[in-house]
Amino acid sequence: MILSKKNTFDLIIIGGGLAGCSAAYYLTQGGMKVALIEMRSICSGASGRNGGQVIQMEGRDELDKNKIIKRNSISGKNKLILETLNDLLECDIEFLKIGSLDVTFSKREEYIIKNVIKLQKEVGDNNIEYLNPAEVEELCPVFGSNLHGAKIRRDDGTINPFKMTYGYAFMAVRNGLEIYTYTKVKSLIFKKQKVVGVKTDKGDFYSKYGVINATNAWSKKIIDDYPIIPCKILGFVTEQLPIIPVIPMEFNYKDVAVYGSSQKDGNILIGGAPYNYPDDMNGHLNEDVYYEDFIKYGKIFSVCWPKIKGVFLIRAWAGAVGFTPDSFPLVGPTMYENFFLDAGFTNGNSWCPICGKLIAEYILNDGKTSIPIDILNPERFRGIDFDWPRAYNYTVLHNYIAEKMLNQNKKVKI
Amino acid sequence: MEVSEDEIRTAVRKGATTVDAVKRVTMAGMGLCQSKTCYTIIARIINEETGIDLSKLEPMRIRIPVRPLKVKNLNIDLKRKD
Repeated sequence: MILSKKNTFDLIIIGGGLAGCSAAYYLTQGGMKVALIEMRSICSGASGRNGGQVIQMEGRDELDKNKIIKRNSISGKNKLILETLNDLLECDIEFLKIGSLDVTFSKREEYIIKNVIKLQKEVGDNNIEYLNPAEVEELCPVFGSNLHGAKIRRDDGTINPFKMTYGYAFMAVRNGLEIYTYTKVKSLIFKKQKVVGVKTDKGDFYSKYGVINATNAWSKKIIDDYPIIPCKILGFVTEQLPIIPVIPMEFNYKDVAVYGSSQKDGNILIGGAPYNYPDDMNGHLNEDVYYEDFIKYGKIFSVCWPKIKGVFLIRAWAGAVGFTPDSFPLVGPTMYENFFLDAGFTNGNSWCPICGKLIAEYILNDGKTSIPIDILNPERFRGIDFDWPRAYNYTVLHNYIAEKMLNQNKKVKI
Repeated sequence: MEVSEDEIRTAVRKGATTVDAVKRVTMAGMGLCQSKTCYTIIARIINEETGIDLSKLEPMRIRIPVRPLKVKNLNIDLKRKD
């Protein structure tokens, strides 16, 4: 991108992943003159390190009916956006509606999954079913005799995350977006309580209407007082194979959360939490993967997909997602005038497009959005003193939050 | 999976000025050899299109395994440090 001589924009977006690029597209569609500032290259964080999974309702620990309704309302609408993107962005995001599975490997897990399905149906979500092992195996012939039942959502699937992120970025550039890569934001520029721009290692940028922090796992580097916690996730991929339908799935293996799916060209991806958790928050951002991680996931692959354990693994990597205390992202205005958040994603393919649209609507339409965004209010945790554990993984964070909320005097507004 | 020279040049002209960035736009380097074949070609194209000297070009992120490894051969017992 040719460096422009101008440095004053209507809006500045920090972060060139799916969150930043989708927001940039919707804002430039609305006529705004936008600069997007990215410390590396477009799509180089979690947006370019995931398995392309489109899973509307991931996870099993959601027992709050209200939360299920709210999650589904946003991630369900997100899927409708995905269906229009090939036309909007004039590229093929490779959206394959092959379904998604939450697979179990024990009677105890099977019981939990059946309860999750029952609860979700009770709130009106009828797009999920229970499949017995024979039905799972028919759909997805990679399992062995340790397979138990699974939850399936048939209209979930996969996309190509690079095509989607770059699709948004390139169309936004056609609308007038200016992208500044290898440009690192050092600090926000404040004028009293108002954010008027950013200081970078390549100079200062100013904005009339605001700055959006779309840096997800790196959010705390931009501004520290929002609970978006980086969490390291690993990825491993096999050689290209004739298509073996490994439908995007999640499962637990010895209490480790694992995800996996076939990719369009036949490579199979598997991933999840690291073997050892990093020493501190910055350790989650180092994107390193180690020998023990490789052995661990080789074992998980062999045990859970035994029919394809003869394949070659060709690459291992790591990235970081943004954990939030209630698993909803932080999207919207903040207590700082002209400063917005669009971050806190752990399931970006199912949330970033719609959140990009919503933050753009908020800014372009004077606070009016097509669906209410109060549950995404970045200030909803203000006043809660989080004392994050120094060394953590996802499970540790979840347990800390559960204990914190139990001891809370002040209720978290969800 | 094949990536054409034209796709790579287009990616560079659109702002992908490192080998990793070209990889993310075009999927070049994601095949079996993990860019062992195409790395120098992509680097040379970036140099031709942008003038960035090969010695100054950010190296591509090389990852384990050094060579492909069969999943079933990874059945090694790891002893926890604690």
